[in-house]
Amino acid sequence: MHLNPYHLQIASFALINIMLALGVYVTLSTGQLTLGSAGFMGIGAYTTAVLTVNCHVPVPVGIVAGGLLAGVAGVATGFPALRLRGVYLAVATLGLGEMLRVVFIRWEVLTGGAVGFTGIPQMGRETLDMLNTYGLNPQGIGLKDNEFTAFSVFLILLLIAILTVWAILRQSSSRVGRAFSAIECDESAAGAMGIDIHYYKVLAFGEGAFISGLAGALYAHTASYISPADFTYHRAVEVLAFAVLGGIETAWGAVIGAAVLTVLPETLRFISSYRYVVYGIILVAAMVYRPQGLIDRALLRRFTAK
Amino acid sequence: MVELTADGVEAGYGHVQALRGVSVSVSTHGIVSVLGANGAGKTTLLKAIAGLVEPSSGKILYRGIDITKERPDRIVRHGIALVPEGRGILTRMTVLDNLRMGAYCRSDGNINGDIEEMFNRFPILRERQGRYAGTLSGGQRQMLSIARALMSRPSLLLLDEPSMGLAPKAASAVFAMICEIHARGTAVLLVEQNAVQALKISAYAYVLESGAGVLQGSAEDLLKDRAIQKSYL
Repeated sequence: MHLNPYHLQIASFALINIMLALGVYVTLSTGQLTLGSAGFMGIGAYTTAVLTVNCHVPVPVGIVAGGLLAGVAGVATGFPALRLRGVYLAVATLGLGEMLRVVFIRWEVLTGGAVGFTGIPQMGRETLDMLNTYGLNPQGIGLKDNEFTAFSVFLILLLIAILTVWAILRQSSSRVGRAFSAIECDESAAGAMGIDIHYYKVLAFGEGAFISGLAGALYAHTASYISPADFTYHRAVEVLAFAVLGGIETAWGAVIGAAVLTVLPETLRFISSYRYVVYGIILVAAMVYRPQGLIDRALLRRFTAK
Repeated sequence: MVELTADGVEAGYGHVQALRGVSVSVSTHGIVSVLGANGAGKTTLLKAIAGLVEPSSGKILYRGIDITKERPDRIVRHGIALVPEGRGILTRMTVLDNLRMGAYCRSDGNINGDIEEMFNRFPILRERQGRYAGTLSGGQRQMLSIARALMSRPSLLLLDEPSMGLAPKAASAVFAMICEIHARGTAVLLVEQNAVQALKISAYAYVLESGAGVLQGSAEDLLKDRAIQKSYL
């Protein structure tokens, strides 16, 4: 058996990007345009880094705690966000993200400042160590250590991404999901129908931040090194592009958008310095020819009808 | 029986005061209309009753309960439903889902039965139930908006310019539907620019001008009133 760790790593980052895009999708599905995802991602990443390295908390606990803290921050942001709409909300959340980034730089004792946070336990290594203590060895299934670590990271991320997609799809077809889309369609009409708009909008903000934080925590345990440069507004805009290119009508849009836009620059490596030009052209072309995104409900219905 | 009384309601948006002390009363005996030009405050009055705009002063009582500061979702549960201006159709949801959303605050098991009843009363909605509501025509959207409001089983229905943008034939159908709803025992507060049609089906009416009530009386009297005829008919 032979696995290419490089390809697995790209696939792993694609899965993290899918999670980030899903976080934006959930908030957007109530019509709230957020650019705070990079900040919430950072909260998740630093939380688990501090907990696992400084407090020796197990990695899974750190990851969940990272997601939860980001979710709490999201709920706290969701309340003032109720007063803002559209681009105004986007700019405000952009400001929030930048503010958080400055906190990550300045709070050096905890975050390591601009230099970054090193030595975060890597999920693949941790899994390997655990197997070794039980006397198991990846050579048994014909894998080298580095192949095994890359593969186990990929599997863990795949499992969590599938769970996230499943949970979001389930919610979309529930009472909560119908309330979300009613609010997105027409907020005052939704209110007139008896939907508690404040509750659902704050909920969507909290859920989106939770998923972003979870993705950030997973990122920390995949890369094992994080720095404030990982959580700039560039990242937030990139994640928004994933969701919008893929289509914001269904969660599948975020999944496909993030996957395509992560893998694309890698496959374009052969044209080296021109690859982001091509990336840009593809983005523009997609928005011109499919403004609703690559995946819309009509397309999904064609798949499910068969 | 008096269903709703609004007393000296003032409300606005930021620094703009849209209502300067408006009082109306709605009972089950006869449709009540609120007439007036654009910007007279008619829509704001309905929004204040439905809880979508918070009054800065005044009192709104519904069956003796003070609902002045209640949130919109609570007010729907009290039994007041709003058919909003511009219909408020959820365009990217199906006709059926729009109807289901109307029953959002209900937890009884008769929702499907009520949907069936709406389909009987509005046959076009049954035909289009699986389509996106955005594909409906103006008249069909208005029917859907009314049917959706009825799904919450209201005892008071607030209608905001239901005839707006409709061809005369479709508008007449809407007015006939409003009469039928009222005949079945639902109190109706109707806001209209189409004063003649509104007065013809109403028992009582109020006229608003720049956020204040300037005239009120039985629909019959108002139809004959010189000043009204000059400015609205």
